[in-house]
Parts: sequence; structure tokens; C-alpha cells
Amino acid sequence: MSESKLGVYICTDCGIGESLNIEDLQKIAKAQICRTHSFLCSQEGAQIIRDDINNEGVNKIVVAACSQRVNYDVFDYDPLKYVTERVNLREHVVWSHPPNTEETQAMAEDYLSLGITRASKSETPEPKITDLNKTILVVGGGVTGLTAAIEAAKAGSQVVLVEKEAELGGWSKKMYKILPTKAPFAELEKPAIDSKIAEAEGNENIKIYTATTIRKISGEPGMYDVTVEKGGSEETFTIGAIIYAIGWKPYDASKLDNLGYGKFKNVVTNVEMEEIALNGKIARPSDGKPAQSVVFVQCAGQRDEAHVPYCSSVCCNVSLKQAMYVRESNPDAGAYIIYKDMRTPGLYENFYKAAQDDEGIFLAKGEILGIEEEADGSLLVEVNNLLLGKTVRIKADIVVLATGMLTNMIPEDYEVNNLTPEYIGTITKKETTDGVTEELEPVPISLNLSYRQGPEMPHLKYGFPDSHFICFPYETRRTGIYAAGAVRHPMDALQASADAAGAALKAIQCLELTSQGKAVHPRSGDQTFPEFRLESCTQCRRCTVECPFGVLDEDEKGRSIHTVAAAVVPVWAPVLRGSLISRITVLI
Amino acid sequence: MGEQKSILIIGGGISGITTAIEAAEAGYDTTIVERNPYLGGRVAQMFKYFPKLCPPYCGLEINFRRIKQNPKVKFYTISEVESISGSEGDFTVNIKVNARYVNEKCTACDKCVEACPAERPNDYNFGMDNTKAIYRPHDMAFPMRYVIDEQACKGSACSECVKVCKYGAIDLDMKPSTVELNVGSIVTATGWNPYDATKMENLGFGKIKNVITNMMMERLSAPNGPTKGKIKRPSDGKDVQSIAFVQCAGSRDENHLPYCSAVCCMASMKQATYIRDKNPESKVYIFYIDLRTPGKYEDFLRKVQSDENIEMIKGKVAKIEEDSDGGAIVTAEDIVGGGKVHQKVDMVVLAAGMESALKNNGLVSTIKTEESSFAISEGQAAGIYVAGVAGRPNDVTTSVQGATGAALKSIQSLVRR
Ligand SMILES: Cc1cc2nc3c(=O)[nH]c(=O)nc-3n(C[C@H](O)[C@H](O)[C@H](O)COP(=O)(O)OP(=O)(O)OC[C@H]3O[C@@H](n4cnc5c(N)ncnc54)[C@H](O)[C@@H]3O)c2cc1C
Ligand SMILES: Cc1cc2nc3c(=O)[nH]c(=O)nc-3n(C[C@H](O)[C@H](O)[C@H](O)COP(=O)(O)OP(=O)(O)OC[C@H]3O[C@@H](n4cnc5c(N)ncnc54)[C@H](O)[C@@H]3O)c2cc1C
Ligand code: SF4
Ligand code: SF4
Ligand code: SF4
Repeated sequence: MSESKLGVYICTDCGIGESLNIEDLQKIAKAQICRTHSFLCSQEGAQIIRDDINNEGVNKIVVAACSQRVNYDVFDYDPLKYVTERVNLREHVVWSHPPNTEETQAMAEDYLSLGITRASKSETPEPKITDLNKTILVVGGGVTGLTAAIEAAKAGSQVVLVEKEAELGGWSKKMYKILPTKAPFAELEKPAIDSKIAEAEGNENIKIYTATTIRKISGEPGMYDVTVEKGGSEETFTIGAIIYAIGWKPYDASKLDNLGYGKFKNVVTNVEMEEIALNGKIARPSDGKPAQSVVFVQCAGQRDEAHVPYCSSVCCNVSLKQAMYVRESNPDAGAYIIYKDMRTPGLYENFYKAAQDDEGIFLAKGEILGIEEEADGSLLVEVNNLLLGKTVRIKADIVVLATGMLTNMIPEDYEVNNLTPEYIGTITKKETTDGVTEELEPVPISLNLSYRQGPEMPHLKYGFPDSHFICFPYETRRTGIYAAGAVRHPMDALQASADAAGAALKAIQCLELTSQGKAVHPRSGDQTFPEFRLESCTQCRRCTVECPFGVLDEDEKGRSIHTVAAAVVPVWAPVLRGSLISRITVLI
Repeated sequence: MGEQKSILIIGGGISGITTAIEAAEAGYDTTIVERNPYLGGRVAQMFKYFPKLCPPYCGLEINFRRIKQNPKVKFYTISEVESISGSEGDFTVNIKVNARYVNEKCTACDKCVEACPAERPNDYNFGMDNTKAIYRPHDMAFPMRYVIDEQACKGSACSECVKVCKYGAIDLDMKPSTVELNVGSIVTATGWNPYDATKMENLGFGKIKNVITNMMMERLSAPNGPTKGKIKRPSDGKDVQSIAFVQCAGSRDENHLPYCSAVCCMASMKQATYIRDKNPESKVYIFYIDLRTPGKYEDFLRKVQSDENIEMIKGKVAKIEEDSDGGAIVTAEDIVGGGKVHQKVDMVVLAAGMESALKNNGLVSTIKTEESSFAISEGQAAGIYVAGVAGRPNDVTTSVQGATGAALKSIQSLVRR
């Protein structure tokens, strides 16, 4: 900034003038221009400041009045030209402390000096703007990834989609029929995934790689370098933002041996039941005999801390769906659903009702006491029927275990109920000069990021890559990477599709703001970024280890460096949480 | 390419706000039309969010900050959409901006409230206390500006407030105005209203004073509520020692709301923690059909179930009667234990369901809805989209996900042109 000129403006209204010695405050200000006004936010008050800006060349403005929560539109000066500080004498001082005491006065003087010092020492930011790559990388080609790609392309983006398998569609490709997706939410629908695949394949703005995996991603929003591998050969390209949609995998049912899985041929999982239905009649795996009676065991592993501690959200609906398969295949067959709680929230209550109205579908709250196999391969299921208050035995041709969904963030051989905190990996003991220390070694699985903290997204619990799951569900701790679909929460395809569109918006938005040299939420619009005084660095490495956003890494000498070029530093600016917290404190 | 059109968002709850700010930060102009004198919708009335038990105003305040600094978000409060015509890329919308009677000079000094002689029931607190005819919508309201309830105001003959307002902020002659906007796409984010609990006669709401709704419970527990956060019985102000929650009050019932409201199981468990935190001796009884805590919410269920003073009984409540000492007796069938339960408690909270705000709303001619008045997601006219509970009952995080997706869809309507 060329020449800096400070103007301090003290409002005496709203109790400020009555509770404080304004003259003493003015003395503290020691500014060339220091004015008081009895109603600073009025048109005349605001005009005084504008006049000083225009006539006196004031470019650092300290408004000592009310909270910045209010009158933000009155004291609004172009942040690229002026430094503005709001000193909150009203809410923070006179409205919350006794009037005209030494302490209250001292507090006001402190706040004012702080504000003036901050304004004096701040410079207007120079936004860093460089050419960015605005292509969006979608990882995973299930219903979520396909939807994200199509929706982003419709909004004008170029998309690259990378799918590990040879075929697109994910689990949605393996369904006989799907849950209702529209009102009245009562009837099964034909899978719509094929038309989605065709739409993505036919869109010239979407480039699709199948049977491809990601070897390495380095860089930053607007300029990630991605290396992929297909059939042994590698290719590297640049993209701008990432949608992370690698989906889910079923819980390993062989751990449910108490329910007979792996022991009895006719005990299958809900995923296998889709296969059976796709093959035609609902028939026993052991001998192909058409099923007369099928028992569904809900929460097979879920809601149990020994297996999958959470609820998988979709399996109650899925069992209702598969009970309808049974009835469609053989109108004389019976389907029994044994549940803890039926979870068909929202408009899916209609679907539940449709199943209840079917006289061949029986629903009961109960516990499975045991499953036995008879000589002919039939199963005897002993159920403590809590609705009837007695134990019953049901003879079944097939028992379907409604197993749950795990995020694909969890590598093979890792237990969902026993993951290392923050990054999934293994704790290894290391001999150091301080004795034996424990260190977490995160495992790569899908993104292979070149970040100091680890190659994958951090998780909160159970492997789900969420960082804030109420108000801001897309804020992960890897700005530029947005998770969607079943990878981040068990959900059905309808919700996953909405989620995919949201993630696409966030990817587009991140690139838009970055291209303007602005930070994304929660510092959205901020064009400032911190600089590091490396001459004072003692190489304690607190910052490189702890920065939750992975901004910093160490150079060969162990000093901290940005892993990223200056151009887009604002996007993951360090101390982001810190600045958010201090901001909120100031706001109130 | 001509000038970029803007996006209209009807409803300024958490969903509408999210659609607006997310689209604005992606570079598009947005306008929110909100019926209330403040933004934030229903969550602005809540004490805490499940499952983190954090204050909802935190997220709202962060979003308001984003709105304040972003010139691409405009909003009208106490306003309603009067008419919509045209088609995708070129809608003409008429917005009726009702008179607030207080202009931008208001500093929220509260002097007018001291002077005003007229009162009105405080709808923000569901009528559990009163405000003056001129009032601040609530402590943290955004925009922070007072408003006059024209039904309660005695008019210019009184003018007591005008006399004391030294800022000249009150204009009793303010008239409603109409604004015409030309927009490229429209997002419906009109949310929900609590189901009218008086319709369930067996549950006694409106007749038995100590039967309240779950939304009233939010206000009773909140520090800025009518009792300053003390959970007291409405009838006599006695500290509540025992409380019963009646789940599916109206929901999952063909005679009332045929669907499940999706959040009220979690909401009641959350409210059980309100009373348990404030009163360590208190007893809680939750009567339910199914406990619906999908996904990671299961952890919260486990936490609440581990509290010995919270009892969960599977059974639909048949009736609620008033006891001679002001308490209430809840009768239900205990499906698992067998037999009938008669549980006496100090207060009963009805977990009343969420009813679409599109019900009996003039917008219905433009916005297509299903039987229960929720806006359908597929099959709206081109350029019209849905966000949040306007589309189906959901929690905040799912609403926000959908609202972010709706921002993308509404942008596509502008890009297509
Ligand atoms: C038995 C059962 C039946 C169901 N039925 C229904 C139903 O009827 N209706 C409904 O709406 N929902 C149903 N669901 C839920 C539904 O399966 C999910 O909502 C849906 O699959 C989520 O889609 P997704 O794209 O997020 O994940 P996925 O379908 O898992 O797709 C993820 C994709 O990413 C790929 N991938 C994984 N790792 C990598 C990597 N490292 N690199 C690149 N690509 C990778 C995978 O190969 C896959 O193609 C059912 C679930 C179960 C368990
Ligand atoms: C008792 C209870 C407790 C809850 N607790 C939680 C919780 O702890 N955590 C959680 O995640 N969820 C909770 N929920 C759910 C939560 O309330 C909703 O998810 C949320 O309110 C949805 O926000 P919305 O913006 O879609 O709707 P709303 O909050 O209803 O906002 C809609 C807005 O649109 C306005 N509007 C309506 N019609 C018009 C019109 N015609 N013109 C202009 N404006 C209009 C309304 O005034 C309102 O401001 C709870 C629900 C209940 C019933
Ligand atoms: S959706 Fe149903 S079966 Fe699945 S875990 Fe939840 S309660 Fe159990
Ligand atoms: S209307 Fe006037 S008197 Fe009332 S709060 Fe606003 S400024 Fe104060
Ligand atoms: S969420 Fe729970 S209380 Fe609410 S309608 Fe659904 S089952 Fe009933």
C-alpha cells in the first residue's frame, strides 16, 4: 500500500457516550484523524467517514462503535483498498459491563488500542490470481460418481471420471429392481442405471477411464497433478478439483457364524439375494428348489458394537424390496422380516405400508435365537417374537441376512469398529532417542495424496470421510476434495444422487473462488493469507504435523514449507480453524 | 451470452440460505424471499442440534456472515411470492414486501418496546409469552431490526413508539410494496410447520396445560426462551421432575400424517438430554413405535439408552388424561413387556410431526406436490427445483446436502441459456 493514513471514528450513541470517558479514548487513539459522532451509523455519520476517505486520503478505518454483526452494510469499504477494523465498544463493553468504572474504561481503551494497532500493521491484501485448471476429477463410477459427472458437465464443467472396475455403475448395476424413487413411494422400479451410464458415456465433456486406478495425486485446488494406471501403463494429467465417490462394500458375513452364514448353503446376504433375483426365480442356492418361505434377518451385524456399530439406513427398505421379489416370484410364498426397529423414514413409510398390506409378508419385532439346518437343506429359524411375547420357529428355504454397508475408505483386513483415529492405518512402535514411541502409519487405498498427514482423507468415525456433518456437510479437511454418496454415509441411490449434485457444486465453487484469489468457506471471500517468517522457525514441526488441512510440509532441512504454490494459498490457508474461532468470538 | 439471470429462492430457512450462499459463492446472483421478519427458519427456534448438542445458531451465524459480505445474495423478509409466470431462464416473479413499519435507521435500542402499550402473543415462542406490538423478532435476529405487528398495533392514534424513537426509525404509514423480479430459475425451500396437535383429541393438547409439543420444548429449554431455559410446567411453573415423550404424534397415522417425519425420534432423545442435564433427578419415558435413528445417529441412541433414568417403551399412546394435581397420566400398550401402562408424569411432550409448508399455500399452482403436499423432485416444470423439507421430511444435514445440490441445478438453468 502506498501511504497509510489512519482515521478513528468513535460513536457515542447506544450508551457508549454515557458509560465511557470519550475524551480519554480519543487520547488513546493518537491518530491524525479521530472524530466522535453521536450517531455514527446514520447517513450523516457515515458521510463523515466517506468525506475523510475522499478528501483526506484515509485508507485505514477504525470504527469504534457496535458489533460487526450489525451495520456491516453501513461501514462497508472495499477490502482491496481499505483496511477496516470494527472495535466493539457497544456489545463487548458498555452493554455487558457496569458504566463509568475504571475497569470498563480500561477495557474500552484496550479494545481501541488493539484495533488501532491491528489496522496500522495490516496491509490491504493483493489477491494472487493464476491460471487454473477447472477440470473436475470424479473418483468412482457408481451412481454417485456418474451423477456428479453428469451434473457438473451440465453446469459447463469438463469432467474426468476414473473407475476401478471394467464396468461402470457400481452396486446399482447389480440390482434386480430398485426402491421407489418418486411419489407415492410405494412401488418397485426398474433400475435406471443403464441410462445413466449411457448419458455419461455420450457426454462429450466427460472423459471416462475404466479399469483404472489412481497412483498419485499431488498439488492443490486448481492444479492437481494426477497419475493414473490402466493395464500397467501410466498417464499423468492436471485437474482442478476432486469428487470422491468410491462407494461401499458389504460387511463380511462370514463373521456372523452365529447366523449360519458360511455353514448353511441357504443362508445368504442381501447382496447375494439380488444376484438370486437377477438369475430368475427365487430359488434355494443348495438345490435350486423354488422358495416357499424366506426369512429376513434385519440388522445382521449392524447396531452391534461387536460388528458394525451404526445403522446402515437402507437395509430395512431393501428387505421390504426383496420380500416383494419373493412374493412376485411365487405368489404362494411367505416372507418373514424379523427386525429390531423398522426404519423406513420419511415418505418411505408408504413403502412399508405397501409391504404390510401384502398378506404374504409378515413383519415382527424379534430376536433370532438360533438357526438350524435340516437334512434337506431347509432351515429352522428360532425367533423370540416380541410382539407375540413368545418363541416361534419358522421353517425357511432361504434366510437372508440384511448385512450392512461399510465405506470403501476401509482397507481389506481392517475392522470398522476398531480403526485408528483420524487416519486409517496401523500404529507402529518406533525406537527413538526419547524411547519407544507410537506412530500412526496411514495406509493408501484410493487417492494416494502426497500430503504429509497421509495419502487418504481423514475420517471422523467408522471410516467415513466427514469432518462436519450438520451445518456444512461438504467441508472436509482437504479443500478441493468433496466426498459424496455411500463412501461418506450409508445412503440409498436417491440421496446419493442429491449428494452428488451438492459435491459437484462445491467443486465448481472451489475453482471459481480460487480463480478469484479468494478462500473458500469458512473463510469464504477472504483474499488475505498468512506469510511465514521462516527466519524464526526452530523446526519444532508442530505446524507440519498438526495442520489439519495438510498445508505444510518440511523441506530437506526440516523447515516448514508450503506444499503448495502461493497462488492459491488462501484456499487452505493454515490456522483456518483458529481464524474461524477468533472471528466468531469477535462477532458476538 | 446476455446478462446472467439470477436465482429466486422461496423460503429463508437453513435450506434456502444454503442454496443462496452456495450458488452466490459459485458466482451467481440470488434472491431469497422469506415470510418471517428474520432469516433462519425453524432451526432459529431450536436450543441444540442432535447429535452433537451444539447450538444451531452457530451455523446460522456463520452463514449470515457469508451473506453479509456477499453482494450476490439479496433477501426480502416479511415477504411472499405473489405470482410466477414465464419459463426456465425467463421467469417473472412478483413479490409482495409487507410493511415492517421500522426502517434501516433502527439501532435495536429497545426504547420503543418500553413505550408501546399493546401486546401480542409471541409466535417465536409458540405463544408461551407475549411481546409488545413493536418487537425484536428474537434476541439474535438477522436482520437485527424491530418490526410492528399490524394486527396488535393501535395505529397512529397511539404513536407512543414513534415519540421515543430518537432515530426516526418508525414509520406507521409504511405501505406494502410489490417488487418484480426477472429470474432464470426458482428453488422452493419453504420447509415445514408443526402439525396441529389439537387435531389428536386423545392426546389432550390444548385442553391439558402440561401437554406441550416438541417445538415448545425447544423454546422452554432455550436460554432465550420464555422461561430463560428453565424447564417448568406451564400450568403452575413447577420444576419438571418427570416427563413423557409421545412419539409419532400425528405421524405414521392415516388419519393425520401418513408419512414418518424422520427426525422426531432423534429430536425427543435430544430433548430427553435437555431435562436430564438440567435436572439430574428427573425421569424420562419415551413411548415409541420404532426408534428411527439411521446411520451414525445410532451412536446417539446408544448414548441416550445408557442413561438409567431414561426408559423407552415400545407402544403407541392411547390417551392422555389430566391428574388432579396438574400432572398427566399417559396410557399406552407396552408391546414388549405386555399389558397396559399408566404412567404419571409432570409434563408430556408430543413429538409432533412436520407438515409441508406448501399445504394450503398459493404457490401450489406453480410447484407440483404429492398427496401430502411435499414438492415432488422429478417432474417439476423446467427451471423449478426443491430444497430441504419442502421436498421431504429430513434432518438439517440431509436438507443442506439437497440444498447444495439444488444450487447446482438452478445454476444449470442459467448456463443452459
Ligand atoms: C442389498 C442392497 C440393495 C440395495 N438396493 C437399493 C435400491 O434398491 N435402491 C437404492 O436406492 N439403493 C439401494 N441400495 C443402496 C445402494 O447400493 C447405494 O446407495 C449405492 O450403491 C451408492 O452408490 P455409490 O456410487 O455411492 O457407491 P457404489 O455403488 O459402491 O459405487 C462406487 C464405485 O466406485 C468404484 N471404486 C471403488 N474404489 C475405487 C477406487 N479406488 N478408484 C476408482 N474407483 C473406485 C467402485 O468400483 C464402484 O463402481 C442397496 C444396498 C444394498 C446393500
Ligand atoms: C422438534 C424438532 C426438533 C428438530 N431438531 C433437529 C436437530 O436437532 N437437528 C437436525 O438436524 N434437525 C432437527 N429438526 C429438523 C429441522 O427442523 C429441519 O431439518 C429444518 O428445519 C429444515 O430446514 P428448511 O430450511 O428446509 O425448512 P424451515 O426451517 O421450515 O425453513 C423454511 C422457511 O421458509 C419460509 N417460508 C415458508 N413458506 C414460505 C412462503 N410461501 N414464502 C416465503 N417464505 C416461506 C419459512 O418462514 C421458513 O423460514 C427438528 C425438527 C423438529 C420438529
Ligand atoms: S436400516 Fe434397518 S436393518 Fe439396516 S441397520 Fe438400520 S435398522 Fe437395521
Ligand atoms: S425502532 Fe427506534 S426505538 Fe425501536 S429499537 Fe429501533 S431505533 Fe430503538
Ligand atoms: S421419526 Fe420416529 S417419532 Fe418421528 S414419525 Fe418417524 S418413527 Fe415416528
